Amino acid sequence: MKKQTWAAWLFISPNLIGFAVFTAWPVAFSLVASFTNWSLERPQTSYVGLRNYQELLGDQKFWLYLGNTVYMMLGLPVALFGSLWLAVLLNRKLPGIAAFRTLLYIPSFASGVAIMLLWKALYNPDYGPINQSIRLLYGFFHIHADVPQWLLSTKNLAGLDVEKVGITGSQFGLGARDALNIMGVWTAIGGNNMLLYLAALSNVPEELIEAAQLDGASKWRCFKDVTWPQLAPTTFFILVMSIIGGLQGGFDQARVMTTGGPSNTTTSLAYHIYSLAFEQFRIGYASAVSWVLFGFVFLATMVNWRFGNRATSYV
Amino acid sequence: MVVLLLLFSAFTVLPLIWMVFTSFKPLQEVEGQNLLPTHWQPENYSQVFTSVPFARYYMNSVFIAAWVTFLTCLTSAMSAYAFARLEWRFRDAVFKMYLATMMIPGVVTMIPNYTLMVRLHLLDSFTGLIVPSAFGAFGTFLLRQFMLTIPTALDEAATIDGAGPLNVFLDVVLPLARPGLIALAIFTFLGTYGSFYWPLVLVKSEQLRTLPIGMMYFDTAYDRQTNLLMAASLMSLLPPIALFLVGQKYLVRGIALGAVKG
Amino acid sequence: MLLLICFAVLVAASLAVWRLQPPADPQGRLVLTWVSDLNPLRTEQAKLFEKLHPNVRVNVDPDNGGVEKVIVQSLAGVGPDVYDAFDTFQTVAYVQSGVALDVSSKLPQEGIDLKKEVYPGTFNTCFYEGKAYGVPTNVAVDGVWYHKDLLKAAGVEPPKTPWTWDKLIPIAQKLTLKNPDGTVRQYGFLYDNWNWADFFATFGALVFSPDGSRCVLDSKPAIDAVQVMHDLVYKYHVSPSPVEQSSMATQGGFGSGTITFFGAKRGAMALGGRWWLSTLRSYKGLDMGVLESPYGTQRKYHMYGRAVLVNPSSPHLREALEFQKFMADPQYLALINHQADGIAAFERANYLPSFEFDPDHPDEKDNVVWRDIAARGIGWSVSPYLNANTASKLVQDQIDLVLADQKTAAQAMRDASKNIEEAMKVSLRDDPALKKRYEQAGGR
Repeated sequence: MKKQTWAAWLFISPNLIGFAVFTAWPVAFSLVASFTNWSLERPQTSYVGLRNYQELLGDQKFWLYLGNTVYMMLGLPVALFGSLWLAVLLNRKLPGIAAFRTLLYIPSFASGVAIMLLWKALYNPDYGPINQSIRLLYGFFHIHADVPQWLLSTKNLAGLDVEKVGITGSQFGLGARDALNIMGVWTAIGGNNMLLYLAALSNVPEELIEAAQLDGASKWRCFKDVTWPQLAPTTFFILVMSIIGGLQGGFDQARVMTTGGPSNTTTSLAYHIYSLAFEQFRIGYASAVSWVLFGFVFLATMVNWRFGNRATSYV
Repeated sequence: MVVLLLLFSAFTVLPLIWMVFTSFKPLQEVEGQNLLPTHWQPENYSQVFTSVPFARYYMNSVFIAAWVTFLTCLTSAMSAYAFARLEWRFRDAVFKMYLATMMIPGVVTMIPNYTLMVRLHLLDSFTGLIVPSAFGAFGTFLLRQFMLTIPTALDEAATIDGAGPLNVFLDVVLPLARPGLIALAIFTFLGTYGSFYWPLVLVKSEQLRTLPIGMMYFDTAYDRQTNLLMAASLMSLLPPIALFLVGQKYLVRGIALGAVKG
Repeated sequence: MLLLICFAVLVAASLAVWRLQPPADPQGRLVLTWVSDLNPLRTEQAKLFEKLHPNVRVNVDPDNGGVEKVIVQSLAGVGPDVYDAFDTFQTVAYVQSGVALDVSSKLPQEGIDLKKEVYPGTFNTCFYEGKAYGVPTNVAVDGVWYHKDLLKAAGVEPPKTPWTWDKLIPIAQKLTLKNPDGTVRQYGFLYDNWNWADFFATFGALVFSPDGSRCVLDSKPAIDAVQVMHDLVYKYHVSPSPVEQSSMATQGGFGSGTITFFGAKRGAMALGGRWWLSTLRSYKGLDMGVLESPYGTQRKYHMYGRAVLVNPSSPHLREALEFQKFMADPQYLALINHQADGIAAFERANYLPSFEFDPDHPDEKDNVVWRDIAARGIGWSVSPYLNANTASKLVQDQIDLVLADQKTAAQAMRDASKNIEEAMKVSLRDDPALKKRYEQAGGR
């Protein structure tokens, strides 16, 4: 054991030193800042204890934005399983499979601006192909209803209200948040997660699968009992990164596509933090919000900790 | 299945197709209803190079991304090994700390980061653009998870044969972790390549600017030259796509478990 | 091994990059860094300064529109030498964070008397608490652009000014044309949702009381102003709603794109500034005119603009101050007017014959109108007790709800007022020194 400890520290030191200086220290600084009223508009800063935290927990806007953020993560499971499914499909050495893999990864390459412009056009309530198709369907089934207004609408599938935290009937429908969710799934599904699953699938020993098949297991059971557990560490990674990304994200879309609207419904917590820091200059308060956000994410992560921690070993 | 894949792929290619056609349009056609340009304007591509020092920005971006990718893969592989395979006292606690740092939005760490750069005299320099980005927790996290999926049988065999941790790392784990390393390399390259805020705040002189900042010039409130922006974006995609095409082959590698038995 | 090869390649590349780096300035000039936005006109403006000061090279460093760059850099002690502040919001932010130099004593030495020479509407972008920090680079006031041919086609005479919003409505209605399927082909009047300041100015509506201690949004002038904005869309149908605006463009965020709509003749009239010309000049075949904006109860219009500030920790203070002084130079003022980057902030430049008629743009006959409107410009209503961005956002949020027809103007102004008062309480609580001033000023 002692020998391993010495080796371990040796291995980790290059990364750890850089990490401590460039990652850990700024984070620690922000924690301290969250207990102050540091504002860029004021030369003196003073310690205010937990007041920032009290304020944000009582602020309607915080809960509204948290709600937005969580809502806009609803596409996460779809994206995760979608990536897995794609990876399984593409996990073979067929000629030309490289083309498919590249094509599906393209949204990750394409300019964010291009993607957002494209989707803005797609979601156009009058001329966009999505609503045109919906109108066709409605006409076909003789449904008399308004087509969704997508990026212009504050409506959503959960009926979340606009200015207060709550649910009202008038806000049921498909609106900006749903539009962003759909777009998010599309962007993520063939992207990094698919690559990761591809890589992880290659580590699943073929012998195990063959053994299971010999024992008469169906394809589904093979997957469920052999492959899926082997993928657990990767799934944990994707889950955690998606949660982090989801809770920290929505920033680019908000800035480019919707500027946080309509009526702040696409403002995620990350965008709110940015606005607090650099538009309202309340860095201390913004830090506090960040750390509350951190709390949520960390909690969610620790719940899954055991799941993702198993090393692969078998007899 | 193939049909489904084809359908899906067709859908994902849409933005790229739009980008290509828009890059050849004259400005007034960009918002038009027609997908194809009525007037093809390949001069857009050369105009990108004359409007801004595009070649220099290109070089800078590739250079920085290459270094960051190299450093990240190297140090992350080593630390991931320590977390995934070695037993030591504070292992899990330190790892949780690594995880934790990723959960703080970058906005609030920007100011302390920047002040740090100033103290270290790394402002407005390549070093300042490269070094801080190379030590995030992401790479370590990714590779650790990946290494956890590598069966320990080979490790054990090698140890029985008398190999120390370094040898196990170099000869057993690292080669098997190659798919994970490739994935990390692709992500890191792409991520660094497209990073915007950090270079924006850190860089003052013209010769250090990177591609995303350069492309900002085509998308201002005064002068939205989306056609030039698309031309620039397409050209800027060449290195990541090249990296991807080369690397994706290595993402799928079977383990020769015969090595264990034989 | 692959590893070593990669490393060798990278080291070689680093050496190459090192060698290839050009020196800071090939001619050995002093480099002055000017942070501004990404307006292509800046290059020309920078070059003019270089011509007048051959020992200096101006490095135009773009920020992306926000204050992050300047503040983060300056807090670390390495900010730019000079930088732009867009409107009073940014000036206040920069001054309060300590990155702006107080030039109150320096300007008279340079022969510049801001209070006498620039438009009053721009004072709060230059001054803060009685001290001067910025010299304005340009100003803008919105007027009404119109397409002469579209008016003629509808049989409408160019409106006579001054005119009220009531007078605008029937004219705009005649200019609103529909397609057979009911969608609107051409709108009578275009404006952006953030133009509320324009409407407010014409009704004498303020956000804050003059001393900034109270929010006065919940009052007739403000409500009337917002009501006009609402009715133009929903009662008279001469302006597009946010939904309709978005349908007309693939680009731009919520509410932007009015310039391009107007340029594409989707609107017969539009509320906008002279700086629209930098886009409109590239459209061929437009025959446009400019009118003074309609008014509600007073002929006063909202003025906005930029000012250039100096970083006190700049190592090149002398040149930085020269740059600030350059803003008053007749050649610079002429350039601004020629480029149509708004209009010159120094009044005298706008009464020169070269402004009234520019031989390079002979069909732009309305410069006199712009000048006359500018003389009626007033600045933002702000309070020292609440961050201006916060206040502005709170107002904008409510107005957006009205423009989405989800609230009445009266309710919106009431809610905005309440939100602002709450925000002010938080702001005062955080800053005891400010709170003392507030109480001394008579606030509750």
